[in-house]
Amino acid sequence: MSRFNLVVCVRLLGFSVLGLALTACQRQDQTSVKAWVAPTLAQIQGEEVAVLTHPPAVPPSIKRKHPTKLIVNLEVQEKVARIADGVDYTFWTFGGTVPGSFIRVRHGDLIEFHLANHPDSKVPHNIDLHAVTGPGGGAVSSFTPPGKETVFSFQAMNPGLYIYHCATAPVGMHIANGMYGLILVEPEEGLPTVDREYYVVQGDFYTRGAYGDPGLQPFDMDKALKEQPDYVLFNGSVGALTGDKSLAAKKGETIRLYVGNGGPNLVSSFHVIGEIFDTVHIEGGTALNHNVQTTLVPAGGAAIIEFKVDVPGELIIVDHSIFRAFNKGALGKIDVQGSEEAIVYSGKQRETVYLAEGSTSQSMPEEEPLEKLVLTAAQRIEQGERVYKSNCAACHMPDGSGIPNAFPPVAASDYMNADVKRAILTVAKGLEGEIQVNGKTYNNVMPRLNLSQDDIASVLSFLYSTWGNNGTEVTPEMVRNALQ
Amino acid sequence: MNCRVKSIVGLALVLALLSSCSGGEHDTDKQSESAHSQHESMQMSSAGALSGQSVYQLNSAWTNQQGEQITLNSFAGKVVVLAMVYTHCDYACPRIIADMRLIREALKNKAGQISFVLVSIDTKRDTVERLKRFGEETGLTKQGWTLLRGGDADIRELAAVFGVQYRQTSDTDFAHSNIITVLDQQGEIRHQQEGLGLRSDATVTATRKLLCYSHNGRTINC
Amino acid sequence: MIVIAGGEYVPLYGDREVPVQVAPFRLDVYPVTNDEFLTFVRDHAQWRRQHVPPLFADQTYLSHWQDVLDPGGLAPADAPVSNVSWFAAKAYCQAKAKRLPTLDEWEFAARANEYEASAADENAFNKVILSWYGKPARLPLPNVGHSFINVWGVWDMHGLIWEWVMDFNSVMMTGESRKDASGLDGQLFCAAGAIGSADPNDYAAFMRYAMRGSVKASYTGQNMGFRCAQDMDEGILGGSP
Repeated sequence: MSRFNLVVCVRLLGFSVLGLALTACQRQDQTSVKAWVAPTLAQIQGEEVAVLTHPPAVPPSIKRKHPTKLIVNLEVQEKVARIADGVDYTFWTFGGTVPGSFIRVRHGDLIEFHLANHPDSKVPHNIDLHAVTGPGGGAVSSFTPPGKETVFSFQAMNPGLYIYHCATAPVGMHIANGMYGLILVEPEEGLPTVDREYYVVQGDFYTRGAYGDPGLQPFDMDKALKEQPDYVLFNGSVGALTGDKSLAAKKGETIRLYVGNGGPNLVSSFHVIGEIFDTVHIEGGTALNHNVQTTLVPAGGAAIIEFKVDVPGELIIVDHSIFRAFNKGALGKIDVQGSEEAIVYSGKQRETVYLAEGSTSQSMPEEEPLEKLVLTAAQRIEQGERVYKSNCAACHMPDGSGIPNAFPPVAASDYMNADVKRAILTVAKGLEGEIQVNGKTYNNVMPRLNLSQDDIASVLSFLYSTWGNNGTEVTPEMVRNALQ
Repeated sequence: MNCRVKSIVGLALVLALLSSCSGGEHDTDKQSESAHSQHESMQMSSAGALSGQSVYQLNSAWTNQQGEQITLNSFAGKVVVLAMVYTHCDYACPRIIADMRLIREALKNKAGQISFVLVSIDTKRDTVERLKRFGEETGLTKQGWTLLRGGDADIRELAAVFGVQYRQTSDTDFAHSNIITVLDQQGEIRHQQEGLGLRSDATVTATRKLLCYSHNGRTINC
Repeated sequence: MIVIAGGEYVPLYGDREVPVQVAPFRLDVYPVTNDEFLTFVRDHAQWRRQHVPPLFADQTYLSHWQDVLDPGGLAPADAPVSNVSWFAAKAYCQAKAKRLPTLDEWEFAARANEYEASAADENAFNKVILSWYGKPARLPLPNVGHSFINVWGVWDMHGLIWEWVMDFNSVMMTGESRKDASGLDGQLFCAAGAIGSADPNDYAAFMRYAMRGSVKASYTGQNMGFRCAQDMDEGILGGSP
């Protein structure tokens, strides 16, 4: 430890639960910004059991004006739960959820940590809290086989927002299975009052099957080692923060997000579409930054993010490493209710025809592969399924059902079945404007996808072959003819 | 330096003690002493049925440095300070033995009530002769020191009871936990010091406490 | 029992350059079942759950049995006995003139899949093992003899329960995997070697070692059972169940 740093010494001695003796000493040099003296045992008043909450809820702020002995009871549960619609995963959890229960303590509190491991568990677990000053962050002291409970104590020496996680071998697997959460060490003076607080933690998941492959998906160690996740998620499942689980707010309110990143591998480019962060507690620490668009949350790190919602509508929470958001699940929503604020944001005011001068912009000429692979109809359908999953399923859904009022269904689609050439042109060139599909009106933009003619033939062959469509076989020749 | 000591109280309620210090004073004992004396005082043992936690339920047979056959319950009635070592060990075991000497020195006015026991994990080389010679060479000849050898299965079992982990890593060496265990007069584990190079204050205190007794409602000799 | 012809293998611990020699030994074909353990506690009253002292078994010992001498619905006759301590497992084997297998023996026998004695490098085999470790197991446990039989003719080495071994406490793990991997804590252990490996196939073995390192001899767990072994020069071949 550098002598220019704050040098803190704490020594905890326990002889029984009641006979805890604690002395603390501190030495500090002139360059330190702020002196903080750890409370002695005599200054630690009373005893409380910590209120823990499941995500996205956050325990109430601490009103206490003194440090206390705080008892935290956390239970490890291994459980099968939904990771996406039709897809299950065996999560290892702190408290039954991913992320684990939110723990809120006050700077200087003496925390008596009880880690229980459910008797149904298969493996031993432990906990490393980044808020702990001490070897392993508690990992050695909390090594707990199934059906046991361990106890250790620590003093919350530094305020801030910290990740906790399991550190039992193989540690990567324990984290990849969801064993992480946040502990907030609230500064003694507390945090400024806000209207709403929420708890969001990102994590990457590695499954045997690809994104959306149905059934109970086991953990895939190879993908984890290669750092190629199938899912990148907020709060442990696709849709954990969308639909009726969107985070709620009212126009004019201030929101505080406690954001963590469990990893195990990816660093998050945390962003809320349509919002600017008024204040970011950088990396969950004491330094404040203002007017931030995207803040980096490292694996095993956190950030406290505050902003006022000035206009109604949906704010989209994303990892702005953007393929993760739209193809791997890293999407959430804040639903802001209230009347329009036209000055702050007008909405679309005008839409007119735009005629560019000269010819339309050109895409790069398609290079023909040297040797053409001729696919059988069955191979084409198989390849088309892959094309669909990686290019189309994000909007038209893995089961082709689409999204009401936004993206039309491609399952049992009268629009598709009525006109193959139109379908080819739609995939090849994109589509804009009003269409009718199965009696419903859609008015949206489908982008031009950069697919080869072979891929267009394959994906359409796949679509026509399944989900109640009419079985039309689409060949590359048909695509070529349609495009001439 | 980081260190960790385990204190075992009652039904193996383990509180990990953290000590993480860089500079500053280490005065802890005033408060911890007072915490102690509030705790229940131990009575001197009187022979009786073994408790379910007593190590003396093990009926394994051992041989001491004099070549005498003994069972563990021959230590009953005394406080036992015990470690599992091997005599050819040249790093950790001498440190453990040194710690035990310091504990003995700190409690020398009560030494007659304490047995200091070293149990060998090296069945091959730690013969009775070797143990005897080792005891003489290292000055463990005073009364109260016992060096034991036993069978592989019995050593494994004793280690399991004390939570000592060990494994032979080569023809000449063992890896092992560095643990000093304190047993009360009934053979129950009352304290364990885990780790090397620690101050043994807590172990001394825990051992001394076992030698207190009550007389007319007063706690004496603590 | 079945004879496991010995051989050498490279364990997770220690020097990867120096294989460990395993002498031939006999191993039970199945883990010990509730029915077999019931017979044992009938004959040895000191191992009934109301008699066993806390030094030898914690308070969950046989706690899923309906009554002292009635395993009941959570412990079917042919399911492996669990919630037994190391001491109880050891005493059971001794009563049969057997012993618990050593860690090396168990790991050596467990390297076999259906087709070969040494499948530890088979990715698919390790994936199957890992996927079992990854799932919680609730009572009642499945019966023995239904997971898989390995090339030695031994059932259920993976996919049913954790199993006690004689020297489970030869595993020096603190549970702090980062430290375990980088070199053991010199203060807690006198040891040179680290438990560490970059081979992803070792992850399955890692989890077994972590489990062994986390328990004490009196601990019992509802996923933790055992089977017995025997030296080649000891007694006669015991009958298989």
